[in-house]
Amino acid sequence: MKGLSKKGQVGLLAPTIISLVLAAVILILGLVMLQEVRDTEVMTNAVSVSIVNETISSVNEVGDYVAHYSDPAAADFALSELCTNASDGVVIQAANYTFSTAGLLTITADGGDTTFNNTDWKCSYGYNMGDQAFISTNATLVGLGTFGDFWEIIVLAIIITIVIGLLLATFAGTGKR
Amino acid sequence: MKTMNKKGQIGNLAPAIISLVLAAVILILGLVMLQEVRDTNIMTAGDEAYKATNETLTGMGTFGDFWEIIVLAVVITVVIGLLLTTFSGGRER
Repeated sequence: MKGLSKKGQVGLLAPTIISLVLAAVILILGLVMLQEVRDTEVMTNAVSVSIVNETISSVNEVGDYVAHYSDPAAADFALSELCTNASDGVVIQAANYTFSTAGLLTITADGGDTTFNNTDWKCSYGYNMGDQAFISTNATLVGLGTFGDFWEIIVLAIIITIVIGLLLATFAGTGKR
Repeated sequence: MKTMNKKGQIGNLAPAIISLVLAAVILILGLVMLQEVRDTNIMTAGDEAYKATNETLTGMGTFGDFWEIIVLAVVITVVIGLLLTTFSGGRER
């Protein structure tokens, strides 16, 4: 173990930490950049979708999300016409419910027509969503972000290397250090 | 293991991350370009060019699913390399 020395082992610590911090900073800045790119208008509003007569089950005061609310970057939900009661086709007046831009349909608690509470509705609506580029960017962001889970094991490996190296330098044989 | 040393193992980390981030940024910008080209007025949904562009976009986009395994490979390389330099006998580092 000719090259092992106590000073050398401990001396590795500072450059190692500098490298780690540098790597972490680059990673984080990269992730921030990717996130900013992902959230640009061109990515998030790539596609405009129209849904006609989707059945929404048991609409109530708590609210029900439409089926597509969790599409990639889905936003700007808006009804294209008044909802109807699914069983008899009766038009439900707008005062009876609210529809959020996130796709949540809720019966108004105060003064709403209770006839339609907890019944199935049919609604037509439109929204914007991201396309393949958004999906891939998001997957890239998540994938690169998993690096964050491994810093502990990298730090542990460095500590082990330094500690074991130090112990080896001290106790392994009687050679000159 | 002539070129192995502890400093080198950790020193590989920053360039590896820079390469990964750079590759990711280029990939994403490429995908955005492809998507914008696909959505121009010169192509319509039934065109061969549209279909080909869409397939290219989808195909290239699957790269996004593999970043985790690439990151894992980098981490394993660094950690195993680091441990090997310590425990792989008494060679000079």
